[in-house]
Amino acid sequence: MSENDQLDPELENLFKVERNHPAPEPATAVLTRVKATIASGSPDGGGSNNPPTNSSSLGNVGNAGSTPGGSGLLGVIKRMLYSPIGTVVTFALGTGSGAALHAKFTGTSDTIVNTRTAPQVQIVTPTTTTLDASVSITQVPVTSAVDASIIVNPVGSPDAGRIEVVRNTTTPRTDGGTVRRVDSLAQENALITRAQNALARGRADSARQALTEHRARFPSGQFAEERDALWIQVLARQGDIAGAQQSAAQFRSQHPRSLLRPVVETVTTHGRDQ
Amino acid sequence: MAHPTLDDLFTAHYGYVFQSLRRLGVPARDIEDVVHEVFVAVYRSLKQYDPSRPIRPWLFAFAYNAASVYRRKAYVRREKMEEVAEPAVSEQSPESAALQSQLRTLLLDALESVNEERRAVLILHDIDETPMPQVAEALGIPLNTGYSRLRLARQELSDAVKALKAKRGSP
Repeated sequence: MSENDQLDPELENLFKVERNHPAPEPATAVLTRVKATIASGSPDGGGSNNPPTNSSSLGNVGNAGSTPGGSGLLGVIKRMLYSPIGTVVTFALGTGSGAALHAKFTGTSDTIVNTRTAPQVQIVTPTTTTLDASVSITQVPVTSAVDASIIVNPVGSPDAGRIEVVRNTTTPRTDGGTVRRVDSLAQENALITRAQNALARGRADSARQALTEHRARFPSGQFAEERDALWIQVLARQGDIAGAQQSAAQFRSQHPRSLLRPVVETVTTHGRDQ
Repeated sequence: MAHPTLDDLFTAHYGYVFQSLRRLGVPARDIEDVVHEVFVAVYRSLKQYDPSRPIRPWLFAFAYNAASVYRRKAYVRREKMEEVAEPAVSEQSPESAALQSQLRTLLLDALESVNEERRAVLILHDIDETPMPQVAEALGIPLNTGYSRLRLARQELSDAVKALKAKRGSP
């Protein structure tokens, strides 16, 4: 077809109106935020120094929306948390945001810290005072309409000994489908957050365990993309560079427009995450 | 030719990116957040930009990708919220401005019905008046695919406009 064939005059009129609609003036507040986000990145700009080389293809913009790793400005993080795309962007920000993301997805949940007397939940505590690994009990048998996730943070971490009991719901289940979806999202998020935290603390084995559990329970979950990106980091951390590169190739084909591609590129370029 | 700076790009093309995102279906209430993401990504890829090529199709590709991500992640708050009022067209009579606003709303709503990939081609080609070879290059698709998507997009848009007009009463 030629470019102007079959163009309905009515559509042409609508296009004309749209073309003549005045564009808004540049918002300096947005520019300030852009600069703050860029400035909060790592000195080498995270994955930004290794963008795809074909500047015309959409593959190039796979990092649209990404932010550099490391700690971001608190205000920027908070603002991102309130936007839908913030869920992904926040992930890319790294460990500092993990807990906040956890809180976001468990908005209807109660998080109880340093208590082992949560109702409807029995926790069998080890007699030794040393806890060696993260323990996650995600399917606690309960007799009421309450289920829970329990996360015991490992020794050596800043939160050592901290036990989180996440009750997924305490309200009557008038809409079973929605509640189940929120529950599984919270459980997925808990696993991903656990993997993130473990990786940040240099505990690649624990991270691997959490990601393996996520893959087994939620093979096509909402956080599959994040899991796959973390998996590459874990492999690189464990020195399996060939495995990381192989997984990265798979990641690129499965998630060609992923926001996490810069992270993946950095890991595979530098051999381990920064 | 020198690469433009972030400030130059932002000043010159903020409006274009904003409008493109709106046409791509990002609600007014979230546009500034998405514009922010677009320019962060643009900054990171600035070295890959070839200054001899037109900048807008290149920027549009970032907007398209950011809008896709926005839509994909928007499940967390899918409910329809009240739209933020946009500036009215200036230097027009109130009647004329109201009609223009009505037509624009009709177009934006109808665009929502067009498949995402096809909509991108239509916006770049029919609204931005970008030649098809540049559209294809910006979106990383073969030229024939571009034409094919354009044809289908026009058909979908035309159907959607008719349906909306029938529902609302012709503006």
